[in-house]
Amino acid sequence: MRRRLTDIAFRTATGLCACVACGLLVVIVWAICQRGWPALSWRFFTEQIRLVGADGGIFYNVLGTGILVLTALAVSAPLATAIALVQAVYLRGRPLGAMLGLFLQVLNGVPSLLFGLIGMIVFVQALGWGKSWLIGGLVLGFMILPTVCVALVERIAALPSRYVEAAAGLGLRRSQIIRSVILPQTKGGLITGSLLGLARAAGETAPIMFTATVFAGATVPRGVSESPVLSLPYHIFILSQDSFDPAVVTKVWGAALTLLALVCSLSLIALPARLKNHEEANNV
Amino acid sequence: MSRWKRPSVTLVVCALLTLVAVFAFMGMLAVFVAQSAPVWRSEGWSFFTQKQWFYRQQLFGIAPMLYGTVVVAAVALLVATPAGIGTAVFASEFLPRRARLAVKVAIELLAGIPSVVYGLLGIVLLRDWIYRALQPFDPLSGDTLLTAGLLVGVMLLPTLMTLSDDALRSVPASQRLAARGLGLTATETALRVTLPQAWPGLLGALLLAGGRALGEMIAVFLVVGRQDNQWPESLLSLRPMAEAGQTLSSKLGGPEINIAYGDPLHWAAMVALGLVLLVLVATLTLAGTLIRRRKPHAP
Amino acid sequence: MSDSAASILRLENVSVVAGAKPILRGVTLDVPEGSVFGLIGPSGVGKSTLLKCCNRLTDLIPGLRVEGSITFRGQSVLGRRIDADALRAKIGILFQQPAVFPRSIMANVLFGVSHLGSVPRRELPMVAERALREVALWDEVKDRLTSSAIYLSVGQQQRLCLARTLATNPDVILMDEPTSALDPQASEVIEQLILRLRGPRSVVIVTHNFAQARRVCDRVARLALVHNIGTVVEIGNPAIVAAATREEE
Ligand SMILES: Nc1ncnc2c1ncn2[C@@H]1O[C@H](COP(=O)(O)OP(=O)(O)OP(=O)(O)O)[C@@H](O)[C@H]1O
Ligand SMILES: [Mg+2]
Repeated sequence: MRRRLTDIAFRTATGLCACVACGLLVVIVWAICQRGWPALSWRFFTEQIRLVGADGGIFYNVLGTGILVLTALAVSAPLATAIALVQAVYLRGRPLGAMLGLFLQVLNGVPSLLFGLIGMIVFVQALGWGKSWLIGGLVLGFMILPTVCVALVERIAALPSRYVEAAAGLGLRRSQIIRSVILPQTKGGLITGSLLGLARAAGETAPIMFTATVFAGATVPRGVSESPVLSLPYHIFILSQDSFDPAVVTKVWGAALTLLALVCSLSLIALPARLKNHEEANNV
Repeated sequence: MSRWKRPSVTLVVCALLTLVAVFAFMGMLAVFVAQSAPVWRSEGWSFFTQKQWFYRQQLFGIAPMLYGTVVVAAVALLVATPAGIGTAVFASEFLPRRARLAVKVAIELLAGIPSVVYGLLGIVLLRDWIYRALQPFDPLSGDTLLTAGLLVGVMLLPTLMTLSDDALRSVPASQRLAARGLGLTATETALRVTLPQAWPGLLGALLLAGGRALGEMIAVFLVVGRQDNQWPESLLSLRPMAEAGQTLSSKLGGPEINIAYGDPLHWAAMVALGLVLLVLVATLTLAGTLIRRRKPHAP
Repeated sequence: MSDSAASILRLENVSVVAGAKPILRGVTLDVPEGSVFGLIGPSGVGKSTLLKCCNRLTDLIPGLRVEGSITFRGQSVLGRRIDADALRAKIGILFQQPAVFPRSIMANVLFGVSHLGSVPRRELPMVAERALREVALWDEVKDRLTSSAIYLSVGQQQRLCLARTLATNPDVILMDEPTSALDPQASEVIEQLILRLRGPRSVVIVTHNFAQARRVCDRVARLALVHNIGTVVEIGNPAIVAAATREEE
């Protein structure tokens, strides 16, 4: 009887934890939707910011975030592919490969703020580019490198060895095997990882606030140096600090809802593949 | 075999790109170290122990910021650990597969919410709740170390839950089945079989989450109050939790970094803050990763 | 049906469905108290599944539905109100692969009993010794009871698992191909054990090996796939069932 009660008590306690976690999600999403929904309109997405955020829309913010994120993708995808191949193919099973994996894990833990700081020191100050979308893209790309890379490495490691053996049996060189077997078979991992990385990059403020983005006065960037963009996260960051004007408050929630929708849709697209991979890896 | 003698173009390109990435990181470390050198020469260890930071007087002590960082991370872990591990245990030990996946999806979505959105929620909702809840302690505002800690705690929840779930799942199903076959309840199985074998993974999860808590900037910045030089009368006192404070990351994220550029020593001090943060977080992350790699000791 | 007093486990018209796929249909059999009852049949016919039905381990496999009636000492086993954990303490199970916990040998033997609370704490060492002696492991491990169990050989691990089950003092022990992971000598030891268990306890054993069935079983049930669903096609004396099977092949 005592064991039965303990069982029930423990189930209830852990179940409550789960309810709290899931409840938090509901409360947060509800809070954002409820406040942000009234702000959404056609004009909100097509006009540019006016009256320090109290009027107008977020067209150039969405555009700027898009530019940053796509640049990050262009930076991280080739780098991640190269590193993943080196780690999981060329250095497979060697200590150096394991060290590369560890390096990626540590890189994954580095606070995004520090990526922004280093971007500022190197590009904005030392190279004298000033704030630029390109720096933001580089910094974000470097930041999401581990995410993309790890997704790809997992896929490569999970690739049945008979594919590779079959190709090797046909006399293909290793580079040919990579191009004809490994990359085509694992491009799903690259896509999943990139989507996750993009979702993360789109929501980050810290890496771009010193390097790439301003609150107002930028449109479509021309050139590289001194060509910042607007962005959604920085917009929210600045507006939320003086959130007393009700007009501003509505707009900032609208921007938050937009950002949330953007980020969630990116990670939702990647979700099925991720869960499947995860379950297989743990052979449930 | 002569086939592997000449390196292929693919190998050369891959190796070069990898080296670029590795050296970029090493370069980053080097820049941090080099640019912070002046402050180490002028302050030495007192950089860590000094309780005052007044850049006009060239006083650079980060003890209060270290204190704030530790308090925020501790509160966050205190909140997130039971909830995160509890959720993971519930999902992996008691829920059928379908429901477990549903919980995982919810948690992944929670993980995807950008920190600036958490910050906004913190400013608009949490800050007021805390202000009201702390009335007996007479706070100046809702911007406190406690607020920041709670907010970061919510942000850590998905990390902890996902990593703990991995750890629990890596315990072989045969172990659970054997325990249940002996007549143990699901709870006894979880407490006596699964958790003891998953502990390296759980500890690793805690360390990784701790690393994230130390480095989180935006959300902390918005609700911590950013009050410099807040050193508690007693290290064990809970009173400072109800007051504003400053963390390493909120200091670095603030406008002071733009002022600092003109003054070599001040700039070095700011970069040194970043270096300290980097070393702390990298140590935790490295330790967490290494511990997590230790697989449970079972056939 | 007249000797129901003497049957300890009785399955009547038991069917198992996994999702929409039927695995077993219409299984009816009687395990007389104190006997060794064998289950033989081709791979994938559902022997392991049938075994897990008897102590409700099927509860832990999502998507499995068990229908029909299973009674243990005349009391129904299926049904929500039954305390399945208590039931499993009475009907122990031994798996094909030994699943020892990464703890000391002592802790492994006492793992079940120490939770059931049926034995006072200070008597536990005696229980452990008795169980280890019963499986003929005592002499091999008595000097290293506190060292980890995972360094034992597979055969020793299998006996340790049996000792662990015996320590909880079950009435029935279900064994799922207990010797298939072992070499002939270790198998021999386990077979001797089974013969010694018979009487005070009842055993239901799954085996692929007719010779083994003939050596240890009092009765065997042969399962086969009929329309791709497993069912019992023959019950009887092991020698006769084995002969009939050989003729069929
Ligand atoms: N959870 C499940 N979901 C779906 N099908 C299952 C499940 N568990 C078992 N099966 C199926 O039930 C059938 C019987 O499986 P079982 O393991 O009981 O066979 P077995 O007779 O013990 O075989 P073996 O001699 O190889 O151990 C198999 O066809 C298997 O694929
Ligand atoms: Mg089987």
